[in-house]
Amino acid sequence: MSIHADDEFSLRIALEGELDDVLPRDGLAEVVIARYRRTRRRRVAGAVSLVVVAAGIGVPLGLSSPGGKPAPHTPGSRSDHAGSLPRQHAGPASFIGRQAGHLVLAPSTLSPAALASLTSANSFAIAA
Amino acid sequence: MRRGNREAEFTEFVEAASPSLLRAALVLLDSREDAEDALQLTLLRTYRRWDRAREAPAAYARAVLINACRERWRHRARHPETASDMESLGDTSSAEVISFAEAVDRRHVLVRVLRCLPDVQREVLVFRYLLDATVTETATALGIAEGTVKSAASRGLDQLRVLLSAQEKRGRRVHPR
Repeated sequence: MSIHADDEFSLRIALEGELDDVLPRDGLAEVVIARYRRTRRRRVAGAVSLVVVAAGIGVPLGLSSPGGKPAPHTPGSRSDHAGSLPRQHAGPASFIGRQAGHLVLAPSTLSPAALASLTSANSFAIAA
Repeated sequence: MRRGNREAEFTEFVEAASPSLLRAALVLLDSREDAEDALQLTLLRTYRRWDRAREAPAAYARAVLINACRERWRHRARHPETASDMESLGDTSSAEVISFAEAVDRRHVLVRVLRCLPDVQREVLVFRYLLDATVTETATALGIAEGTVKSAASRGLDQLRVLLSAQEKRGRRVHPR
């Protein structure tokens, strides 16, 4: 075999002659389309499972919540809910202000000297 | 685009283009199995991007095919244990490679001689004369300048002529008429 002056033509003819029995198998397009569908199904399944896993990890961490409700408070995480008291302490809060000292002592419990020093330092009324 | 329409267009393209793509892959790679794998990968990637490829599917598939063949060469380089007999000859001369290949299969002489050419020359000759690509299309698909395509084609043809005439002389010596 030789390549002659008209190289381009003779090379093309020679290659075609040598490779004319090289043919792809029948139904190649169907095989490719089926392979494409299989790959795409696998990809979609992978993406869906990734979302499910991400949500599954996110809910207990408080990063996401089921049903769109606010995430419950969990220790160690900061949330924007106001604190609440346990049930037995629930009810209207009362203001505890400082009132004037009002001490009632029985005179017999203190010695006269101690009683005198106490009344001089504080303005307690002594009920006799 | 409807799925049925897309599939029909693609099937028509595969029937028309796959023989030449397979032949090109067979020259670029060195085994029928590798060539068929590369062809299937090429068609799969083309179908995946069919909306874009359908404007010029042959050009798109040619560009994909050369990438698939290069991927396979790189894979071969990383996994030399899977190299074929032709490659496992290592740094033997072209003439020795031809004679070895001749012993294996006396048909496809031109294909085996083409495989002895440097990669760029072989790719250019395959694109220009087997896939009927223009100089511009070849340059775009291979990622080289048009001048490089022309010079590689010219050198490749010269080299091919030399190798084939050497092959012819050896054939005459082995089989005197």
